[in-house]
Amino acid sequence: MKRTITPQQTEHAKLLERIAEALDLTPQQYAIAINRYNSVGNHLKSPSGSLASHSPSVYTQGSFRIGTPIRPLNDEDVFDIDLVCELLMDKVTCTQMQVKTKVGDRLSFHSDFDPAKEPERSRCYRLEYYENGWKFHMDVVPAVPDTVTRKFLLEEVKLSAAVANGAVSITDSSSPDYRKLNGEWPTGNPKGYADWFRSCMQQRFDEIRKAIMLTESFASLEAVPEHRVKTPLQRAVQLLKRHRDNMFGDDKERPSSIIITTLAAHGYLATQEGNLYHALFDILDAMPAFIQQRPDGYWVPNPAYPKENLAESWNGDNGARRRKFDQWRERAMQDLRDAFVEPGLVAIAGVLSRAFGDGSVKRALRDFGGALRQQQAEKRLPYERGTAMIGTSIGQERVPQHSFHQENDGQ
Amino acid sequence: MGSSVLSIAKQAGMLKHMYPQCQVVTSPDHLRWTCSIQPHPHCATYEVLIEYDLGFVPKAYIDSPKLFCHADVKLPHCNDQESQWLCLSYNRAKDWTSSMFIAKTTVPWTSEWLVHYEIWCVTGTWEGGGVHIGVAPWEKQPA
Repeated sequence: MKRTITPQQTEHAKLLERIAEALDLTPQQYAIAINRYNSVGNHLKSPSGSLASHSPSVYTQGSFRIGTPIRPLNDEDVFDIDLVCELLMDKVTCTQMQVKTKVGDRLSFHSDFDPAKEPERSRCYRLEYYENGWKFHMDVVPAVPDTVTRKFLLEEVKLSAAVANGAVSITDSSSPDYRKLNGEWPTGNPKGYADWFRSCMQQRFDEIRKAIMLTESFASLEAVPEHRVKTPLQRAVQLLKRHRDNMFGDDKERPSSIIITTLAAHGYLATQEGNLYHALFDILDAMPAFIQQRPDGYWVPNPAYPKENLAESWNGDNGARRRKFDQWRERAMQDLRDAFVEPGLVAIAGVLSRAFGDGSVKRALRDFGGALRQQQAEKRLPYERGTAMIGTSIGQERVPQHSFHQENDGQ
Repeated sequence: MGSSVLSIAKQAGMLKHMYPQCQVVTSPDHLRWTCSIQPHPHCATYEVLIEYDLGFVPKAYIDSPKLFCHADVKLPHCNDQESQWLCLSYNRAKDWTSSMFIAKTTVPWTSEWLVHYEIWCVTGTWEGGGVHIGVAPWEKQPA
């Protein structure tokens, strides 16, 4: 059943959208990150490099891959980008350490690799950056294809080939099997996860991409860069993560990003709602239904590798994390309900700042004001007959050009 | 005044036509329009007064409430802080001429001013643009 969206709810969604935009990396930060990613990636993949015989493929994982990264809450906090370096090696004939070392050896020839910073971590190499006042790090995760898991996901779990074929084995230097041949390797499926996430919003994603293609005269759908498309699901995940940050700070028991993202995508799939305000309620309403209660405790299976329980840490803490998740979800719903009760931007911004942070709300409102000003200058700022409301999607008239001119010193 | 000057009757007629719930009082060369305006779904409601002397630039006031956001900072783009007389147009650029309908200019401009006012209340910056004399006093923000 198609739901009716009121003009007010359209405006609510627009404002929330602006707040989510204010959580995006700045275009400059994005450009820096892509630049470093390309540089490191090309270095690892170089045909003349030591990894060439293993046909390395390099790709991002996590929030950067699925289009839901948010700026750190504080300027001094570090942003991270994860990338996978997958080598075409048979894990039956090599050890985790061999894979890790091969990647490390090649990486050590890149200028971003600074041995003084001890880049080796148990599952990755960490490259640290400080550019234009922005701190971030890039974790390079060595991996090899996991053919056994791929077969299992395809044949037993009946996942699509696109999701199943992303499964990889990764290395862990803290594992007793690290140096053993035929030992246990940790499994991951970051590509498969991203494909699954996309499938939960595919219809909406295609619609928005098409709209951008038409309004900005792109030659084809594929020509529209994927990162330009932001669905209500992606925006909702950004807002919910920031709400979590704001509520818990760096409390170790706070709901994890992967839990929020996974439950949000599950909750979004059924409606694929186009209005962000409604989408947030749909998602928050649906979330608990996707937390399973099994004999061994709470389960949120990784959709791309269902043997992995994303809520593993919820079992064995006397319910602390589960309680915090419930408190967070209820608070988020309450904040959204409260946000637009009292009219006036001061009141609205008060509630939204409590929920999503003062900085992002102010940026969103400045952006709103700037957009009104630009529309007015271009003679396309709408207003409504009868009410004289400006800037809504139902205004039939256009505000004539003018400028707010002070004729005296404003006494 | 040229022949294109709109009469008070025509101005009042358009105001009544476009905003039937608002009040217009006229004399042969004067018009007084009062209305409750919520300038945007996210904004509060304001009592707006527009006074118009035939051939002169209409004056728009916020009758109530008393606008107040930042202590010791003057309202931006406001000709008179006491009567809350708004600066809506640049006379030298002839933003407004007496051949224009108040209903289609001064009224939506007032809405626009009010939205920018509410944004200013939150952010401390005026995003509406415009021209001001000397250093804009409202840009000096309290911490």
